[in-house]
Amino acid sequence: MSRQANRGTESKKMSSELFTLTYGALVTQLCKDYENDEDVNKQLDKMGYNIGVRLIEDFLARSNVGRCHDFRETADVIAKVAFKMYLGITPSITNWSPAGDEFSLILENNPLVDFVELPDNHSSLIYSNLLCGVLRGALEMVQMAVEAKFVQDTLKGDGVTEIRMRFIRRIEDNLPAGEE
Amino acid sequence: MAVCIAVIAKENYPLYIRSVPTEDELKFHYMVHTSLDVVDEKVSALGKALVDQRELYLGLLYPTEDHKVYGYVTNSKVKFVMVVDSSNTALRDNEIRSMFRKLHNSYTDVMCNPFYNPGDRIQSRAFDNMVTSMMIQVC
Amino acid sequence: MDAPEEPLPPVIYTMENKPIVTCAGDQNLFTSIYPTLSQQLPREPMEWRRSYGRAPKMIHLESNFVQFKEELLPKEGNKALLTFPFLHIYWTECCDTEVYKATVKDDLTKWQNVLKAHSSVDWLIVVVENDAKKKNKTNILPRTSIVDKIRNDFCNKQSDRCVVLSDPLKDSSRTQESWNAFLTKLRTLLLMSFTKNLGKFEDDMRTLREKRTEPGWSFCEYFMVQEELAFVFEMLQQFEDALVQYDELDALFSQYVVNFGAGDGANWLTFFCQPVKSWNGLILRKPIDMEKRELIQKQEATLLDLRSYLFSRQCTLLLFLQRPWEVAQRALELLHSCVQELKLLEVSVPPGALDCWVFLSCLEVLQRIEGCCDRAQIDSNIAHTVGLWNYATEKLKALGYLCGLVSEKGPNSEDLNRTVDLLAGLGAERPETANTAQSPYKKLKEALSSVEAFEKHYLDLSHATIEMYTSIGRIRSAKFVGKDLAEFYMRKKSPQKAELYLQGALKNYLAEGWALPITHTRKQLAECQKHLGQIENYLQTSSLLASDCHLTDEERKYFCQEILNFASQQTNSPGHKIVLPMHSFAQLKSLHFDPSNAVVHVGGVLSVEITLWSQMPVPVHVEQIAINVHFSIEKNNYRKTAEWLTKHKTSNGIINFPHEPAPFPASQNSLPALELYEMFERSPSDNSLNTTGIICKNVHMLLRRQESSSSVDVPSGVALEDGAHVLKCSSVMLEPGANKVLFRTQAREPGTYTLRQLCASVGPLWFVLPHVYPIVQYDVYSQEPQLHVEPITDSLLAGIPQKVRFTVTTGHYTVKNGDSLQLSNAEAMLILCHAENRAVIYSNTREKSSDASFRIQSSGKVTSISLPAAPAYHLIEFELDVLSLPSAPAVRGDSNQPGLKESRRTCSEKLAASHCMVTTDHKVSIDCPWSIYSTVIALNFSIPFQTTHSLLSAGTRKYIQICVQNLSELDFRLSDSSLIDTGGSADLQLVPLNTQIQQHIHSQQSVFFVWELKWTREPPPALHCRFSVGFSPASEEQLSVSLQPYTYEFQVENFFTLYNVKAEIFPPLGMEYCKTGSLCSLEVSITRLSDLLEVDKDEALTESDEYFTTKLMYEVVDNSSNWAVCGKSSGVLSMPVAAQATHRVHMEVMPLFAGHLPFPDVRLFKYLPHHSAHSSQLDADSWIENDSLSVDKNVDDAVDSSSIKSRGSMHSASSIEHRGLPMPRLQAFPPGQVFNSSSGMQVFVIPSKEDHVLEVSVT
Repeated sequence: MSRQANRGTESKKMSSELFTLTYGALVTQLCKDYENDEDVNKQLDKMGYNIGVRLIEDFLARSNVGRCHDFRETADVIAKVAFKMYLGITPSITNWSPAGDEFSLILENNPLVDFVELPDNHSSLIYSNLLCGVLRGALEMVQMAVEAKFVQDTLKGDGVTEIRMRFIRRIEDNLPAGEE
Repeated sequence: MAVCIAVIAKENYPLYIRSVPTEDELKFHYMVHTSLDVVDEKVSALGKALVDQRELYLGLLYPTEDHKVYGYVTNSKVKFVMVVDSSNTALRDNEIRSMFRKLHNSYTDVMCNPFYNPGDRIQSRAFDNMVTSMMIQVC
Repeated sequence: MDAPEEPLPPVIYTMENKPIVTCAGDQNLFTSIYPTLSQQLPREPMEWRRSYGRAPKMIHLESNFVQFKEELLPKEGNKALLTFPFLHIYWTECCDTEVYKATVKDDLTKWQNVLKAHSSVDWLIVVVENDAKKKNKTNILPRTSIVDKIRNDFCNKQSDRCVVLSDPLKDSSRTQESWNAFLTKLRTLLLMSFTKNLGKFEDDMRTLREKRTEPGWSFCEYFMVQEELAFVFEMLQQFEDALVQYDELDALFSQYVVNFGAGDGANWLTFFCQPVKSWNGLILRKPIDMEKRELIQKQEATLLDLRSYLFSRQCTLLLFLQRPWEVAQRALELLHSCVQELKLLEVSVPPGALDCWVFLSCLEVLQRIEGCCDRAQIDSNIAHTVGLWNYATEKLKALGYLCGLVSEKGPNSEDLNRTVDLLAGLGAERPETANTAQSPYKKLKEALSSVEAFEKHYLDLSHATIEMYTSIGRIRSAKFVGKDLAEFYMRKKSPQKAELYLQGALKNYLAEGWALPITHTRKQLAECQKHLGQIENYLQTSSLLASDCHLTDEERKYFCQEILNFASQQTNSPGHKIVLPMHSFAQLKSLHFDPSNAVVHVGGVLSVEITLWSQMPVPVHVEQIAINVHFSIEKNNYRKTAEWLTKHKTSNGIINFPHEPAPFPASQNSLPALELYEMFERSPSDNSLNTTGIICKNVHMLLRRQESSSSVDVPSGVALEDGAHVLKCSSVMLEPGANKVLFRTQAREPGTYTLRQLCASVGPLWFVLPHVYPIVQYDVYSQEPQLHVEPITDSLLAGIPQKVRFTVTTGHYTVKNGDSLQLSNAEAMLILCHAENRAVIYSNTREKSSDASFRIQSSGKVTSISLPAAPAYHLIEFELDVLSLPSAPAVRGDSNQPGLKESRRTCSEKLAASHCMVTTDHKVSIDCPWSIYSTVIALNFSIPFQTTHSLLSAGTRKYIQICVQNLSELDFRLSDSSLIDTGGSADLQLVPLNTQIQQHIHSQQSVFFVWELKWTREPPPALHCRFSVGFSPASEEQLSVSLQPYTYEFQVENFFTLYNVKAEIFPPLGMEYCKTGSLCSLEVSITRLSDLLEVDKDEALTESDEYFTTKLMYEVVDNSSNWAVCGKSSGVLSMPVAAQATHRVHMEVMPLFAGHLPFPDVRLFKYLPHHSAHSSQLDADSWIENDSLSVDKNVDDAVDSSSIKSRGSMHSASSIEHRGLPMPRLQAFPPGQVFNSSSGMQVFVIPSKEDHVLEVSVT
């Protein structure tokens, strides 16, 4: 059957362990291939970006959400629709900046990090950095340049995982920026 | 409660072994190591049956004057050995079983940690804590 | 009537007990029946349905018939069951009413009353009849009446309580029937009674048990009660049920103990806490140990007594049930739990007492089991018994240590006292074992009696245990016992015996990677080896321990010190080495080469820095660290050429070594990698390959490792290779942790050096890393000095200055000041000397080392370049400008034709492929200071231009056109072009028609030059010209050197016009225009323009009387097929050789199209008749027909061949034709000689009216 056929709001079932382990394998392989964690973080972000720029199409196709009018609406869509659809969790949106151009996604439990324990020699690794890339890439395709970064991480012993999102500017030209 | 808990690799080297009190650690090491004899025996003897009825718990491996040694073997032939004080008569088979099951789950999580290479000694904090809980907690 | 008294059988507590049945009434009768009865009763089994939902059982009933007595009936609250009469039977054979009335009835009534009084309802009345009696009695009532009487007198509404047994002693079918009926009844009643009474008993028992929380309750009493029940079950052969009773008691007691431990103690329990005074193990030989039972009954039993008794009963029952192995297993549990319970109850036990008890018990159980099983059974069930053996061994050991029997100087006084006390606690041996030789009691007594005896027994036990363990594959357990044994031997100061066991155990632990046991066993082994004086082994073990992170620093320091001490004290005996493997002492972490590519030239210095990780806890002073190096010359191996080495093989020069195998069995088997080399054998004569193969250079390693891996800690006989090549480094202080050690070596022989062994010597100790892996090599090479000269650009252009790079590879030669290169260069190539030249000097690894200037002197044919001083194995590199002169004498030298012309031909061949540049080679021979032979290098320049020329005519006027094509990539500036006649005839002049003096010629462009040729007198047949044009790269404005112009030489022949051909076309008469389809007349007039010249002195010339004529052939060809030539299109005519001699030829042509048509082409040839008989004029047409093809070819060839084609070449062409049959030949005129004045003219043709097709074509 065609890909379009099974594209829809319904999400296909898949073992979360397999998913988590796959991501784990990816990250650890990167750790093997690159000397320092910073590079790994960069790579993760890059991969995420490449996922994002593609995933957005799928996202828009599945969830026929219209165009967002402001950043707050975007935030809601991300948390309530996107995260739900792809990770099966709904992070809460908190501490907006007064200017309304920054907010935090609070992930109570991050499915990527089940089982994961960071070894001491990877203290500066941002394990789930892929997510930031995905967000950045996806939003870029809808003319939003944003910055996403982890400010809290359960892996680092924090209570929750927090992704800080900052709106930078609207992208006027419509062509997707390629690899950076 | 348990005075010594050990995880032993398929090749019979210890992946993890911890005991209280630490001073007679050595004794426990010997004890656990020796108990592998019985584990092997049981596995080979009723290995067939075990596989059939999915029974991983090997029961009491052997009692000594002051300790009871219990065994449990995963289908991947990883062995869990638990030493309990004989004076601790409160512990019935079922408690032991459930403790082993907890151990097994926790071990599975360790295996799932992408940073853990199978065959290495287990250093997971989570696992450690779980074991500690089993050692201090009194049934 | 009274039956004679019979004594009651006494109640004895054996399993011979049977349920009691009392008999009243006619005793004689009963005795007569008794035998049959007692034998018949058990015959048939009977199903026993039981209360409390217990499974029904088939049981064979027996019973013990006793005479009825009132005192037999239990009083109220009597707990005894064994003595309980379950059934009361009244026997009578009375058959006449009188007698009945008189005696029997009263007797019965009395009996009944007694029973009633004791509320016993289990009774039966048996009336025996036999015909015999009936006979002699005559006046009798019908017999039945008696039974009926009895029935309605006694058994009101339970008539079945009275049965008839007829003729019991006969054997008739009738008798049989009545017996069966009777027996069944009897059994049923018995069972009913059992059920009733046992049920009642159990209820009482339970209620009693419920009371256990009440203060007065005593376990012992309860014990007795429940045991009663057990007895009954046993009596009924219901061993399972009996066992259950004991197990319940067992559990109950254990529970009490546990609770006591938990705090709530029953006061009766405190009684069991009395100190243990006797510990004479279990007794399992009697079914019931009455002494102990009484103790319990009297509530004087100790815990051990109780336990012993309880277990002895369980044991008995289990053995009845054929479950000996369960006995063994329960025994072990029992012993353990007893020990625990005593601890729990804080019972005071004299030291060793328990050990004795356990020891005795173990042996007792074992012997009991052996007593009831055969060998085979036992052997196949070792797994069950071995535990007991092991336990016994442990206990005996404990006792041994306790009583000071495990020391080379036997027990001391207090040991002896202790022993005495212990033996006292055993009491006297029991009668039942007294006469057996091997009783546990005897064993223990003997073992404790003397050191030797103990040793014997202990060893027996240990060996037995080990053997059993091994036999059932419990190797680890066996090893563990072995270690105890080793300990024992060590105590006994016989280490040689201990070592074996320690090694065995250690091997096992190593194989499975159990760190702590390894460490611990090693420590023991170390001590053992020390005692044995196995110096090497001891030192190695010590080194292992000194590096063992599981030991405390003190211990590590101690062992390290051991090593150092040994080293220091052994210094007096020099020469004698002790070789130990290094990995325990220090580990090779990494290695760093300088130069980093690990390639060095002969005489160069190579430094190797290794990082050693010292495992020792303290700094160790090492006299010398050495690396053995294996040297191999690898000839005919392309890899090893100096060039290859210097260029390739670029690593960062750091080799990291894998960690020593962690004590995982996985990584245990770390054999050294094969050290393989390819091997070539070449025949000495011609360097051809004879054989090739692979050599493994570390076979010894591999083999040794394999057998050594079997015995672990013994040094794996690491052999010290002492190769010729060793890197040394003396007196190093190895700090704990990482140390850097630097080796320097000066390379001597070229070849490949492989690091093989690393060894560090501390005094006589040599710690050797037998094999450095991964393979580490460095290469030494030597190199001949060399000179390379190559252009910088990919091709050199002739005529303009070009840069050439000189590279001097000094190799082993050192360039001194004053050394110079002597270039004996061809004049054709100039070396342009600048004011000063700079050379750069590189090291062989291409690092720039210095920068020097050097001089160049040119004197005539020789240029000498004085090289700057440079050390060996360096590169001197500099660039020079060279200029190759176009058309140089050197080049012209080899052929008498002009060089460029010649080379131009070579090119014209290539032209087909592409516009390639003509090249000229310049060979320069250079004398180098390092060799007496001179190097010849060839430089190869390309001429940037290609030139062609052509002759143009207008009537008799002549022009020469020259085309210069620039093939190179550069743009040039052309200046002052000139064309001169090298023949230099004065009356001939070349007038340039070129306007510009200078012009640019871009890459791949052409420039044309034209000159007019003028002459005054008769021109020469051939004309030699030289074209020359000055050129310089358009890029540079000003050039240091004056450049030679580019020249091009050629010659022109027969350029003078001899004939003029003119064609005219006239419309048909009376018509103004030519018309398609109508014939027009074509008039061709051929005019001779000159008198006889020497150019046309050839065969064509025929001399008739006073003037010369020559034969010509004309031909009208219309290739464009505009015209149809009618009639003869060609013909031969003879032309007088004189100026203005003219021939006119007329022919008919028809235009095929309308419009402006070009004239048909008129060609003129020389006609050379064949000299033969018929030299008459023959018809050219027919002639052409048969040879036109060849002619045409020939002609075409001639026409477009350039004027260079000499007559010679034409000859050759024609001479080929001569081979055919002899016939006249045609010869084309050189293009210069015939001028077609009407070429390019056109005539207007109008379409004819009637021709539709043509109309169409016009409109």
